[in-house]
Amino acid sequence: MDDHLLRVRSIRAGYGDLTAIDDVSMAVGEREIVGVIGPNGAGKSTLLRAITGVVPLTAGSVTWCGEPIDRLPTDARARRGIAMVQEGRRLFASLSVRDNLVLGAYHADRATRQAAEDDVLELFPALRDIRGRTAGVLSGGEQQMVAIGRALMSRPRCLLIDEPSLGLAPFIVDEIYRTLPTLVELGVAVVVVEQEVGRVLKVVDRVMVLHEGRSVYEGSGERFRTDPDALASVYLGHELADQGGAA
Amino acid sequence: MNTLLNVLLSSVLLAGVYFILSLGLNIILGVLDIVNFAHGALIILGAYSTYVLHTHLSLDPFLAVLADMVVVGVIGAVVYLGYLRFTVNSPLVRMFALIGFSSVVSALLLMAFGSDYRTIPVDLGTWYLGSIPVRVSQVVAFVFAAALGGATMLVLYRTTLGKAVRAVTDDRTSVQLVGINDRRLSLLAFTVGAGLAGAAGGIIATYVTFASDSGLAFAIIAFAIVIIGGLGDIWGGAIASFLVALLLTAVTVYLSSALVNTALFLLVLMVLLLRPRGVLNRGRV
Amino acid sequence: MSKAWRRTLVCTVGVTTMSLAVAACGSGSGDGGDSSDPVQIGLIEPMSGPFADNGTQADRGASLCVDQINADGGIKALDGAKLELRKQDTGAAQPAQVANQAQSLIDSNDLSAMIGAWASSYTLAVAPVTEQNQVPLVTESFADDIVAQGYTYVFKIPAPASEMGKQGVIEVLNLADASDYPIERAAVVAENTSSAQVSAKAAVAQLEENGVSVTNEEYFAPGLTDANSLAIKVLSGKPQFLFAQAGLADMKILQEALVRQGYTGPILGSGSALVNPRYAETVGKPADGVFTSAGWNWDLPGAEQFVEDFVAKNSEFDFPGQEAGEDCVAVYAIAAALEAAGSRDPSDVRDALAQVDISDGTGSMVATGRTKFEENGQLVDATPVIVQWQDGKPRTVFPKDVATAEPAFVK
Repeated sequence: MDDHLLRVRSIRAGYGDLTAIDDVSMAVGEREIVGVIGPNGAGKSTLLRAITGVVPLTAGSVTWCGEPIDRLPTDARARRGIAMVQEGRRLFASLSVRDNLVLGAYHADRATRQAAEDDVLELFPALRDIRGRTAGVLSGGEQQMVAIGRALMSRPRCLLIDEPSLGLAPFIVDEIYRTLPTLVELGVAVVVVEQEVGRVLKVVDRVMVLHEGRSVYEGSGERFRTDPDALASVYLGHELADQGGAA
Repeated sequence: MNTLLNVLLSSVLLAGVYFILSLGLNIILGVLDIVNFAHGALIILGAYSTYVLHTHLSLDPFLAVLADMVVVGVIGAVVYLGYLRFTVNSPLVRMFALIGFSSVVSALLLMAFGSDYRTIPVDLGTWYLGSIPVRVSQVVAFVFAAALGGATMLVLYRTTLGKAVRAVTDDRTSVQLVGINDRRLSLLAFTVGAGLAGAAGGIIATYVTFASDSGLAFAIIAFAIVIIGGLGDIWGGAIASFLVALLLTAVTVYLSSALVNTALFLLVLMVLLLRPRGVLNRGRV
Repeated sequence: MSKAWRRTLVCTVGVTTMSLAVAACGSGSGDGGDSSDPVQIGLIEPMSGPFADNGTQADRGASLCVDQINADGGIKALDGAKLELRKQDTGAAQPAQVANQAQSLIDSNDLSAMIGAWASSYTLAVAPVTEQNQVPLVTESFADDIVAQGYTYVFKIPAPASEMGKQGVIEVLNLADASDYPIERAAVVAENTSSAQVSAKAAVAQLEENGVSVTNEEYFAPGLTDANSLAIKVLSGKPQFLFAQAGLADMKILQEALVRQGYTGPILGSGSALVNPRYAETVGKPADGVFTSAGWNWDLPGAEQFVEDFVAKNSEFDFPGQEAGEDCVAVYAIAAALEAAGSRDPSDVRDALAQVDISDGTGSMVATGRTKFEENGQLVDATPVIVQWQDGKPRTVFPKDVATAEPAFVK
């Protein structure tokens, strides 16, 4: 019996003839925060998109609570409890903030939806005053909060966040990262993809390093925190020790 | 002064029908990102369905339009399930599939009904606003079109289902990621879009004549409205409907009917150059 | 399903796929010229597609008169040989394709003569083919050009198109004057096809020559999606007379809009739509009172038997259309030529056609009462027939000596 929430085994995925990730494996346990780091083009976003089915697998498997889900369409995976915040927020730009949130809990009944909305507003009080505004005109930070809020509306058990800090002012990024441990308290496991390593390392339980579509490190990440050069050498493939962990 | 009022009134009445004419196209384009080259065929299918329901089953013309909406909607659903949904990744194949569907429809209609022009005679008399004649049946058609358009807007803007449909227009992947079955919404959108095209055909059939190949002229107007209003922008489409109706009427009356199509294409061109996202600047590029 | 329906089906499929299929439509392969074999006459007409109303009228008229002649014992000079139509539906083909269709009709049959091809553009495409193959072509086309090319194998029954527009205007103005309906202002509205524009321009010139000021001249693209604005425009100069040329469908909504916008005066129409038996049925009440010039009308002297037989055979019509009459006359002219020539050879038939002179019976039911061709192939003294729709039927009001009704003018 697999006691992990989400397990990815040797997956390969890409776009057309281009393979973006190959032979990548990872596992996410309940209430765990996992960071996926790596340089631009390493395949971090593709990994998340393969997990949710936005990009199809060409090899490997994805299981959710032991059930293989890699043949399911994206929306069916989402209904099982995997939510994702895409890079660039990708809100429903012509809809109001409130409607964005409402659609996040499309399948819920009115009461559940209201409760979820209250939770989100508690998490991001700033959204309270802009509920009526059109999502497309919000600032980047506001959009990021709506995007995470929308993903949380369905009360997922696992939240995948792609580059939450991209293009945002540092104080807003801090605000976003501040909420991640709170999510864990609410029972949500989090996988966060980041290029900006420093912030991720502060909040994650474990970290996976992707380089050129392959997993080159998986572990606590503690050493990257203390030794700034360690990451560079992992990227360059000099040190592949300390590998192991969940895979 | 009288002429001006006459022009304005004519345009308003025309605009209601034009709006319905473009609505189905707009929804299908917005939600499915499908340029529906079969729009004209669906319109004319609607016209003939209404014709048959009215003349052979003696249904009231406007009840017949409602029934025709269902008929054409079902045909749309069959087309979508039968092959359109398999063409998502090849717009070219899809284009040919839709054009092929149109040719088949007009060939079948020609076989079934011949080349005679048909019409559904709805003579409810003429009202006079001062000296300006207003055809009552056209007022009814306008009210009908407005009600149908209004109902569609209400669903799109006031219900969660409608919001989900609009969300697909914004970002299909995000819709999937929040757990909504976008394939069902696509089917729904195509069915409703086809049904609205059918309804438009039925309404048109009550005041112009049509034959198996008449869909194109109306499809051109619908495409122009969708571009002017902004791709996928329903409110923009409503405004564009009035603009196009006013343009066509005014050009005919004050310049020449020979310039009608030229004027329409110039307006489309101008909008594409100056406001590529439509009159309200909210459409897709 | 009816035979006509099935033919439409076959032809439609043919048209939408390839001309090969069309060539197979209605035509068969020919046999030798044994005296007991029927004499073959080609009939090339748009029997499906947008001109189907006209083409099928032509077919009905020609077929009926072939039957009449056969029932009368066929061609006596050829041992009672029967006539047989070899039909070719042009569908909505391009003129170049129609020329190919004509060639294949000739190639796959032993034609003694040919009848067709209704539309000016089609006829102008067919004539070089018949000329080259030395097969006489009797046409119901209006086009002036067809007899201006020096063809020796072309025979044309209706009056020239230019006469139709011009004569129509002159006569309606005369009739109006005589009926105490003075016309000072007129407007012209026509579709923007070349043939419609030519006759509309001719009408404008004639109106101005007669001292009538033309307040509006409107040309619109066929397939009107709204006629209200057009009507407002056309009537803005308060005309007392309208010249209109449009297809049946556009004519219907245009006339409705004109009535709605308050026009009750006379309309002179031109073009095939207005001589179509379905015109009154399609347009309804506004059809009454409309004048138009035609190549032939059902109430002309000598047509009585033909009309009776036609209506008996085609019960969906109250009277035959102009193409039915013209093509019936064509069949009688060809039959007379066959009798005179005593040969089924197309060149002999051509020479005999040039000499044909019929002045009684169904074969003479043209406005002049005489079926005889000039050197260039044009019917001698051909005159347009001007008709006015009264109580759902077109009545001849000009030429006066064959008129069956008084023109009516509503103020």
